[in-house]
Amino acid sequence: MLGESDEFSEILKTGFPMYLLIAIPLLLVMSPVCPANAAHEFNVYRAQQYSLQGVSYGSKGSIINLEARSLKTWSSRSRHCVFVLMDNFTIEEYKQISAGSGALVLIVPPPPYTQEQRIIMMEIEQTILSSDTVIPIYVMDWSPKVKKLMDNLGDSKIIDENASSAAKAFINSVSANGYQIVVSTSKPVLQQNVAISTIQGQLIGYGFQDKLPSILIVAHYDTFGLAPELSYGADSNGSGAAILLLLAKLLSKVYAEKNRPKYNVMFILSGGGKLNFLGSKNWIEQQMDKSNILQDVSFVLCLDSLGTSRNIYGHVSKPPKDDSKMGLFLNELNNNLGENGLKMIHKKINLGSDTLAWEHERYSIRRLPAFTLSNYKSHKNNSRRTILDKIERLDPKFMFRNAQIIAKTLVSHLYDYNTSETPKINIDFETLRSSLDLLVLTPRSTQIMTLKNNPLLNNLLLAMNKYLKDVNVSHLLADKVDPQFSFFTVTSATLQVYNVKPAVFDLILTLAIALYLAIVYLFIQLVPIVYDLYIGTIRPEPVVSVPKKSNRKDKHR
Amino acid sequence: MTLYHFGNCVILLYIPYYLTYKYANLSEYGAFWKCIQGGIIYAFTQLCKMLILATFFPANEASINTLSFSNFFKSSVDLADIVGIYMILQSIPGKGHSKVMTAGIGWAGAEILLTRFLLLWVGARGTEFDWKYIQKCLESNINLMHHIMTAALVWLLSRHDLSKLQSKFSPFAAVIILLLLSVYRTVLIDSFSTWLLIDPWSIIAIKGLYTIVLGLVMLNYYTRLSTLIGMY
Repeated sequence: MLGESDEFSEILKTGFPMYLLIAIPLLLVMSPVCPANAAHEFNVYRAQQYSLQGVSYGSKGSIINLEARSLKTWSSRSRHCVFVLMDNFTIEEYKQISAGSGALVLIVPPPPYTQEQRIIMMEIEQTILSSDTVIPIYVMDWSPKVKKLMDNLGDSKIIDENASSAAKAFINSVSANGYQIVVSTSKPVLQQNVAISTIQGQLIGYGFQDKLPSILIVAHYDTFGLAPELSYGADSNGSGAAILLLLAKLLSKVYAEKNRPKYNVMFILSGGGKLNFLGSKNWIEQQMDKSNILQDVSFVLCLDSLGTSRNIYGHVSKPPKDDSKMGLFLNELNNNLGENGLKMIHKKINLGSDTLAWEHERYSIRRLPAFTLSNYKSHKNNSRRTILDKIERLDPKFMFRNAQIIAKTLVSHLYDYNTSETPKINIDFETLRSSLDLLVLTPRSTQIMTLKNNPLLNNLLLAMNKYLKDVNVSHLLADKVDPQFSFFTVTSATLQVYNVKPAVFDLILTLAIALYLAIVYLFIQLVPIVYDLYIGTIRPEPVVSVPKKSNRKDKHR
Repeated sequence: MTLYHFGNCVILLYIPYYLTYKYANLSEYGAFWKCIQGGIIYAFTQLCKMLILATFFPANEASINTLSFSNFFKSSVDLADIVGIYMILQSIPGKGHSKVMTAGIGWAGAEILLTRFLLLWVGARGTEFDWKYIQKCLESNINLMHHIMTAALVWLLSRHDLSKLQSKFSPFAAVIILLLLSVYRTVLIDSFSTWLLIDPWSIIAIKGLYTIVLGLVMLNYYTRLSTLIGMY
């Protein structure tokens, strides 16, 4: 083609084309195809991958480079990245997808949710958390950009089986927009040095410290949910931990008085509450070994999820005797609660089960009188382990009321129901609010809390130090050989969406370009004709011109 | 597949140039190196323009597409293009049609090499599909027409016999107006389209139409002058 011009032919005769043959592939290899300019980038959060007591759960994959499909259009025959709204998904569909080799991106729909939506979403969540799969699973928050992507995926015509004719199906498949999903991150590896941290602090009663009975107040602060970085756990157990901090502040004032109570009160903010209460277990074992604090325990009060309702359930492993300290406390609490009362639920510890139901069972196993106060009637309620448990779920009014009643009952118990000595207590809503904010605005999953100098852990320590004595932290590290729990890295990633066209489209484009070039060719041929046309309209000028073939020329275009 | 798309774009970009070069019969005049010479002058002119822009116009990217005096003055720097094309015309000893064609193709060819090739190399090979690369290629085709037209206008202006053309309206003034219309083409169409929010495909159609209309008017003068001086 280029041979038409002498200069080009000369160039061609030299070694130039040979150099090109070498240079072009070199250039192709060396120049990176930059993936940086994707049309859209989303922050996504990888689903849990963990193992507990030797069994592994969750999703093992993290890297995606697949075509995006919606729930309707994905097929198990090829590998696809399926985008699903969490409330529009069934467990059967999840099982099909997780058995394949694609990937799954779950989109959390925007609040508010109806009761059915919550139930569906939490069931999916528990299914994923209690099974294991090799495909990567990511969770993505809702946004207008996500909605647009979902809409486009929904109307995708790539495999439209309803097309009325083959021609229409072909046109659809050429004109369709495809999306290539890329998540390039590292492979998940075992996370080293995961520690479950438990913070303790105490208030010393009047008299000989070692001879006084003690009361333990326990709440776990860690959370659990489908994606570690989305587990805010506002109710479970942000509310319990916040009430614990509130009680610490309140009792520190009471204990500053002259006639302070004749009880020691120990506050325990335990970790690992969602991991079979390993934090409490470890703490008890340590205390058994090295101190006599567990010698004379009146009762252990565990706080778990107290922010959503005015119904409080008291969970016990063994019904208390009415004249025991614990029985007295529960009776008083029942009186103070008024019309709703305290509903006692008695559940024996199931030693055959892998996991314990409530935190108090860790203490009951050691024959300490213990009970849990909670808004939930059953430990099986999925609301205690979900990413939907955000601060919007809390009802501050109920939570404040629950905190007030527990505080009041506790203080009067500390003075043995001797009303004349009991100091007036008043707690204000702001205190509760600030301790709640300290906790529930950050995700508190065990694996992201374990970094050294974790700011949240430091803040909790500071808060405890402010009100309590002998504050210290104990860390439980997983055993290297036979870990009770282990986590894997990669908790969040960036998901890139590329707009792509099917391969047929490029072929059609080539045909269109060829057609266009033919038109350009005709247009160039047309210019001399227009030129002649203009000459025809001009009166012959004095210069006599020999009409020459004007095919060469000019304004070509 | 993306390399294939890159190939598509390159074909769309360069074949019209080749066709133009071939059917203007420039090869008969040995004009290839003169085109390259034109390209060098193009690069030099752009360098000068950038120096002027960087020196006298503070960068305000925000209002790049709005109709304002600063944008108007900024695009006035494009008047330097006329000087550049004039220099090419002066340095090419050829006569008549081939001289104008050589200047136009050299100028436009240097432009696509310097501004389009890297864009395609980096962009069109990526995973992401975007119509904008096809649009840029079509726009370059229109620019080829535009630059040849500008070269012809500059040539007309440089002829002393221009005033001898019989016309109701001063041919000199007409050519000046045409030149100004072609220099301010980009700023006119861009601000018009941001004002009316026209989609990219329509902008290309408008640019094409605008250039063809100007080209036809210019061709009228060009034909008459070349007839007058006996050049075919």
